[in-house]
Amino acid sequence: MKRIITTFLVIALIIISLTACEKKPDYDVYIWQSKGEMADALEELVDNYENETGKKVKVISNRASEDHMGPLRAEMNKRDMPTVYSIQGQRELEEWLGGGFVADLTDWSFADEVAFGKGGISRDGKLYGVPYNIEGYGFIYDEKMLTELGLTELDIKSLRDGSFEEFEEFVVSVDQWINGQDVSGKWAKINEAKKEGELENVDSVIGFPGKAAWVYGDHLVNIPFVYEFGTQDKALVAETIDFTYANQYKAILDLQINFSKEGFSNDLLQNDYDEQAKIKFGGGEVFFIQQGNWAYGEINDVNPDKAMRLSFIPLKVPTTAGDVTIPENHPDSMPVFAPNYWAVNGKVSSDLQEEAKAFIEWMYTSDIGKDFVVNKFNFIPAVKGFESSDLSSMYSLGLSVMDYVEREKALDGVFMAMPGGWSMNELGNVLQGSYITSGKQEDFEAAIDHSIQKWEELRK
Amino acid sequence: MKQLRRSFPFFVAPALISYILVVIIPFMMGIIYSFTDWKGAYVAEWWVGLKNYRIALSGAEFLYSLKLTLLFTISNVILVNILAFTLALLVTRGFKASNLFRTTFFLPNVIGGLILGYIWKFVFDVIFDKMIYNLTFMEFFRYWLQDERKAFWALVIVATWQMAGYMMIIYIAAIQNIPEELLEAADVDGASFLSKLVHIIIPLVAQAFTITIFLTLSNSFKLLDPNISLTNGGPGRRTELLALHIFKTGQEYGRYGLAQAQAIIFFFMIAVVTLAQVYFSKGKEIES
Repeated sequence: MKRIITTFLVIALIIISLTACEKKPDYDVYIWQSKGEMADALEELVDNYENETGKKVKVISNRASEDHMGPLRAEMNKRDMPTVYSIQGQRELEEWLGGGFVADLTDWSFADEVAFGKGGISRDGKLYGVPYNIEGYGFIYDEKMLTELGLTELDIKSLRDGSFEEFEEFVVSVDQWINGQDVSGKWAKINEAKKEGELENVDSVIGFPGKAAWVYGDHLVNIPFVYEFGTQDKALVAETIDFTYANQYKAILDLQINFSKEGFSNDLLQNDYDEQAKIKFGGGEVFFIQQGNWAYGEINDVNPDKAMRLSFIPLKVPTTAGDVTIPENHPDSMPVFAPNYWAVNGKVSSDLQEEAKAFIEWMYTSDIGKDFVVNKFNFIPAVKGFESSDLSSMYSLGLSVMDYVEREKALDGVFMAMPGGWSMNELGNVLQGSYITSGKQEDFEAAIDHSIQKWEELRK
Repeated sequence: MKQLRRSFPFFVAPALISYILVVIIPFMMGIIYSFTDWKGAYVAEWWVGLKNYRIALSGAEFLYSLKLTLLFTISNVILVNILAFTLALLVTRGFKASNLFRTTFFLPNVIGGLILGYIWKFVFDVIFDKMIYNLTFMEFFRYWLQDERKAFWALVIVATWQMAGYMMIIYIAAIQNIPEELLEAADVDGASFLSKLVHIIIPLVAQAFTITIFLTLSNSFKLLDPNISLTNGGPGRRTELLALHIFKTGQEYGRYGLAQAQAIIFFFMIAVVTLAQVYFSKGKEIES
């Protein structure tokens, strides 16, 4: 007995002595951010900041492509938590708000410089995060491929601004041309086009990544819900959904799969994001892929010349499908959203919070910072103060997104306010497991029903 | 002897400290958290009673993962033990290269589960699907990881490959413990290999069966690493075993309180099953 007591006393002593050490944090700013692609560039920028101001900045980036919330939650459990971190939309904001981890930025002078959205991410009138950048997605196309097909600039514009049906007509015509059939009607002129130059490797109209459920789960599903909700705020509070525009969603999904090389089959599941962006599009096998401006990096790796000629045509849905009509359809607009926001930790001392804000402001207003933001991070900036000289080396897809924003043809990214994991697991993955390979109506309806039920469960 | 007694706490301390810090304390914390609405970074509500347990036991995905894990465990236990026992018998025949074979069969167990999954992913996706299929055009080789049923068996194959070596070692030790005289006596009486096997070897190896079935049972139930790297639950969520499901409930959905409740239930299930198994097996062992 004595032995056992002694043992436990020794152990208790050792454990207590390990945990009792108090230390002041040895940094001024601690960034824990979630965009892996910019990790190296950010570290470089931080070195510049340290040289310029003499402050110490600790930066950790989440380089894994997996969900960042898990590791971030673990960081928040430590005594020395991050002072600056990433928030990706309303749903995450709500989680952090519940624990008091976000500082109120409403009175911050820099926040007025944010040009996109309403200054950043906010709740009940209070501002909680400023956007890293903005992003958009739609059908990426190579201008040269379309002009070699015989299209004029006006044709391309009409496809961009036109309806779903008009786009579908074009897709059908191109498919006929690829199969060597005679095209009649509006697009008869593409009969003249030859399979050479940029069109040499073409084998199908659209490239679809069956394996990347986030493309048709998270992103594509934004379209029907933009019409059901309108804004992220409504999506955040909705306890149930109708999925009113499921038929419209099916229309644009079917269009992509039917005119892909694989069609509804198990082969479709072999294509992941890399296959879609690098091989199918970068290799010139398809005319369109549904992706975002970030895909520029992949395409540039494979074919830098092609990467310079890229632009977006918006994802469209039919105004009427089944017997459901969208009151105000915007086939000429594309979803633009801020995927990541810089948030300041509300639980650290006010000194650390001020340091954090100073760094963020420096990043977007100083000359070195601006240079990094556009050229090294490859961001489309969301703050004012970026002159055309700063943006001169902005890449093709970035310019395309900015064009849509300037023409006020941007839709909200409501998918960011959906219940955690819903769009990916309860819709994307379910479709992946059944409908994507079968093409059967029952499978589609079962997936939709499942997702509606799951939304309600997750919101309880 | 007295010196040994004095220094006893210091020898035991490091291992005991690690065990307490890494296993006991988190387990206690987990029990407490399972009664709260824990969000990972903070606790939203400190007492929600049995709500988490109720949701856990009625959740469709949880029950599906449970059913899948049970099927998986049964398949695995049978296959691993048959394979391990067969290998052990082969390796104790006295062939020249026995030691080399022993090492080779044991090697998969040394490789971590995560890496194992990735290696086999390559085998199924590239070697089977792209290389062999393109040569032979046999449907059998396609879509091992994309087809729901094939993916299940892919997981079984990987888990069996990982565990068989370890169990083989246990069987080898047990077989080598059988007194030579018994086998020689049987040979003199003209017994065939099969009756030797059934009447002498298996009964005397019964003790090893208790251990190996216990190990394969609990390891299969708890399987996580190969699950993540081979299929990550895919296609859709059709190969999401229980451990992975609990992990995702926390990590992806942010419902850590619920995940904790699921984990506690998981713990009880494994404890009950394995303890029952050991109890019944012990009754069947023979003292040699």
